[in-house]
Amino acid sequence: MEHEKVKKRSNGVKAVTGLTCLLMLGFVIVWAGIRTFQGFKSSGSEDSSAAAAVTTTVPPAETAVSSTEAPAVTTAPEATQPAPITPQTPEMKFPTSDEIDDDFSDAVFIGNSRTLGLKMNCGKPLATFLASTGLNVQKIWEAKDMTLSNGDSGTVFDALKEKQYKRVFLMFGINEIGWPYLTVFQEMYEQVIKEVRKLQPNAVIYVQSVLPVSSKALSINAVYTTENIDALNSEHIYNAAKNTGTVYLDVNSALRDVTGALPEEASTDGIHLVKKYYLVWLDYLAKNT
Amino acid sequence: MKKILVVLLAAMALALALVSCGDSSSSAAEKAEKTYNVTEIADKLFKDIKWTDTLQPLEEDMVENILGISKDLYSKCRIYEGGVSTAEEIAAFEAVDEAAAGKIQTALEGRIAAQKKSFEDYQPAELPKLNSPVLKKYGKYVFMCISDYNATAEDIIG
Repeated sequence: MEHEKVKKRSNGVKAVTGLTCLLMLGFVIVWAGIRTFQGFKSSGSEDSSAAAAVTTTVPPAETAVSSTEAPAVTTAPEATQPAPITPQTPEMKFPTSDEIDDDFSDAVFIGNSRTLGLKMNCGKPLATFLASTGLNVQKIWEAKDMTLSNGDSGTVFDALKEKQYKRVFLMFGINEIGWPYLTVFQEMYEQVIKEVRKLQPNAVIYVQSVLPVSSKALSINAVYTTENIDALNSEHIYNAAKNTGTVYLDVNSALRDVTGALPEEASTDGIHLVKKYYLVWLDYLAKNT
Repeated sequence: MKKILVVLLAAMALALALVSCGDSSSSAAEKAEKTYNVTEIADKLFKDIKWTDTLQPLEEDMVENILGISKDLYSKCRIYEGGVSTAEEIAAFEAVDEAAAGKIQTALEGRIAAQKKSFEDYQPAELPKLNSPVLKKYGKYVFMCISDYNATAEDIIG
């Protein structure tokens, strides 16, 4: 009799324990399901805001970088705030020169060998290019690499005195990325921009981010990494534009792959582009200026 | 006897010299009179030479911007350009006349000089190509080829 009582009591405890475990398991399953569902909802809205940032990287033409109309990616709330890195453009399209609906006849392009490569591959005979290999923000003041209208050689600034443009596209940085003090590069770049402003008072001045590089560039110099390019753009090129009231134009975003680098097929040396990628660059300018 | 032999040898040497001169001058004259298909020659240079760069055809409306050669100097041209990382280039022109061909040749010499100046600090490894370019003018035809394969280029141009 006593034995049966004990046995009954033991069965009861087992039943209660089992029921409790089942209830706890059910609770955990339901709780996990709710949290997962909430996670899907919030990541969907982050993708939308990132897409908005990618598609609206350039502020209106007359507006400086700090305009309230400018999207978040090109507006810094504080003077020292670097620009966020633009995500990779999901699909790269390759237009022909004829398909790019802008003859750039009102524009001048100023820069180094990459800009020279753009000149050779753009198919836009009415555009003006003041570019030479190895040109940088220091040499630009003295290098007489430009042919002036009278046939003499002159500096970029001599050439800028000869004609007024509506758009000025600047790109410097790849030749200076190995300098020990990039703050010095930024200061010198700002001086160049100010001189361009003085000579072209009515033009919109676009300070272009430095294009990405591919892994082949490392064989030229170990300084050519995606990380260094991105840091140069976000910390110095962006701030040079901001400090001079000019427009930061993130052309880098149009040419980078998912890793932030230039696609391997885009270049034979990792730095200078092949024709169809120069046209991607040009197409970005046509659509965003 | 010795005197006769010396005179004979001298006469033979003179005759040989006159024949060889005659051959080269008639060869140059033949080339100046010859008709060339500049497009075919440029395309063959593009296909048969081992280029280190990726060459692309240059649009005709860009020729004056890049090479400084006015459109009124030529009736046909074919240009292949690299992407700035090398000095490799092909240019083939059929000028409107021989005087225009001379101007084209001068412009291409200027192009080579400018490229040398660009590359001497930037990419000195390209200077050997620029120091010995293939630049030929035959009558109203002008050809330039900057590569590591001058012998092949000269064979193709003829």
